[in-house]
Amino acid sequence: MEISRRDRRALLLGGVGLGLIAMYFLAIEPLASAYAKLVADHDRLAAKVARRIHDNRKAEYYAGRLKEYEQTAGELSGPKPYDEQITAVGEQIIAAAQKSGVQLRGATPTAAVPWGNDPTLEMALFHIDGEVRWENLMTAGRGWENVFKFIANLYRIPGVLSVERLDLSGEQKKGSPNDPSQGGKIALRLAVSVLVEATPSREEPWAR
Amino acid sequence: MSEPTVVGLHLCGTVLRRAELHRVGARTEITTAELPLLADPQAAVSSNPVQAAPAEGETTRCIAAMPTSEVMSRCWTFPDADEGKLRRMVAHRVEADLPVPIDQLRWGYRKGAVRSWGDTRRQVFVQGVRSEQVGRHLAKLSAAGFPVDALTTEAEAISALYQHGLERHATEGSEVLVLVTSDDWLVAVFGNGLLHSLRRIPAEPNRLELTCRQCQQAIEGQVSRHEVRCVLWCAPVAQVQARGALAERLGIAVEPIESARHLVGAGGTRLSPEQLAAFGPAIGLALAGAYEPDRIIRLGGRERTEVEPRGQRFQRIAAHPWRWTAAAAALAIVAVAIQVGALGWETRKMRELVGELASADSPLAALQPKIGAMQRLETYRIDVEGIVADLCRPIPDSIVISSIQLSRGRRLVFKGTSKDPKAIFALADALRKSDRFAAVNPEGTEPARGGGFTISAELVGVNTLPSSGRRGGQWR
Repeated sequence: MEISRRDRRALLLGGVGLGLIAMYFLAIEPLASAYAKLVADHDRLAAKVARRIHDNRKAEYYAGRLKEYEQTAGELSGPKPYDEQITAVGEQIIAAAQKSGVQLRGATPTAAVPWGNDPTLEMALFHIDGEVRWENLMTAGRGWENVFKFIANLYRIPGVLSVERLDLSGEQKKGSPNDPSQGGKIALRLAVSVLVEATPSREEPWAR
Repeated sequence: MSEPTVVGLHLCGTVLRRAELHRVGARTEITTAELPLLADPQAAVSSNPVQAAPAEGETTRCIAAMPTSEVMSRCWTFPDADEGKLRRMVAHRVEADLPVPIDQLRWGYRKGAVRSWGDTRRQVFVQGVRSEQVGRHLAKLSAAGFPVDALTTEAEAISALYQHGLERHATEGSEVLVLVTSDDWLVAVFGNGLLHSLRRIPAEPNRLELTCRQCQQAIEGQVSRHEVRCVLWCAPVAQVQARGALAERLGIAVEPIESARHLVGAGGTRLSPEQLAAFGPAIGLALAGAYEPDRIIRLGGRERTEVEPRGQRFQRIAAHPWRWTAAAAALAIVAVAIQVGALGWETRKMRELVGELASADSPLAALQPKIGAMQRLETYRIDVEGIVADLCRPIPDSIVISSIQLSRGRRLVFKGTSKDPKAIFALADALRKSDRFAAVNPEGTEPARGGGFTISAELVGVNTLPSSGRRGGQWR
């Protein structure tokens, strides 16, 4: 059987075309896919490493800041469960009052309420009643000093967030209302916020 | 790339002596020829082995010399200076000393070694020729079919021969070189390697005594006899008697000298004394063109045209397109291989690193509870001590504070008594100026009842707590 020149040319072109298609599917496309996968893997891992390096730097920075902050504000700690935290804070409030020369009349915790920003936290208040007395003009200034020493000591208690309400009122002895040299007292009423860990038992029943 | 062939052309009366120099490795081949300078230039061209117009790409350079009789030569001493300053000093001296206006002169100079006579000085050998004579000489050679690339002086030719063409030992002091032919003696006096004078003395037959005396005068005109270390004698063998006569007259050793070992003739043999004496200036010109092309005194000649190397380089590259394409393709393949290899290696390393990091606890996660506590304190803690301190600072002695109430949500309210009612308002004004308080209002004053007063204010910079209402359940 003889093949004409035209047929031969058609066969040649067809063969070349088939060869090109085969080369694309067998060589070029797999290579390109493998390269794209390699690049994607590289980018993903590079992003992970960069994020980890960034985290490490951030941790170094915060470690320094925390160290400085703890020197002035006392030890920082994460929230504890309500019972544990209230017990610890109550004990330390009494110690702070004794250390500051404040006569503590009462320290009453309230029930915890949810902390809006973070569902894992709740906030309880401690209502503190106390007084500071002075006998003469020489010790009148020390009375105020003791009040602020007490507040400073409260702020060093782990878990205490802030003083929410403060009510200070000075009283002189009867018969000499405007003369501090005759002695007197400062009545102190405080509400201090304490952050505690939210407990599952406090969840709303309908939220389950 | 082959060394260019240099041709030295020395015009001697009606005869042109030609020396062709070609460097082959360490050897320098010299081919000499003597041509009659014909009146008919076309005839000269036809008999001239050097082409009138060199073919493109030919690397032959022609160096010719002005006759000594037309050249004014001086040897001066100048303070040592940089090239530009020295050239200006020489130009001033040329203008002052030579009898031709400087704008009608072609001149140049050669620097000698630096000598110290108290201060640092340098000898300079200056030569000048009238411009019209240069033009005439170039036209004469050109008409005879010799295109001259550089026209210099015989003194430069003899200097180059002395420096590069003779088998001599480099010495300090004065030396005399005498090139003897049947027609004349060429006497060159050198001091510390620098040519001081060149004189051509006609050699009359049977008057050897006269020639020797003139030679003596030429030497003693430059240096005293006892300063001359030796006389270098280059002459045909037949001139032995003349050598003896000169030695006897001068009372100095007259030593025969040969060509340098690297100079060989056409057959590879050393140049003969006859050849060296007759063709000395032509050989010197060729040597000057070969060894000192940029240092010789250049009085005229064709402009130097050099093939632009960049163009040549591009042509060389363009001559092999497939070779360069293959090289580019190979480079592309290497680049792709490096890229893929580097990506793979980096990916592997990063995977290992991420694996190691994943097994270790994140330091940030460990610090997170403390960081959260610190941020909450910074945001929500009320600085009670600072507030009371800022409140008490402007209180005058006439005011006694009896109570202070502050709260996060409510305002700051403080009460007290004052003997001076104006002091209450002054205190309110002072508190308004503070950055910590806003909306300061004296709410009530009781001057008739002991001077009691109440002032309220808002606290600046105290953030309200986040809403504490329960909004749905917690995610566990």
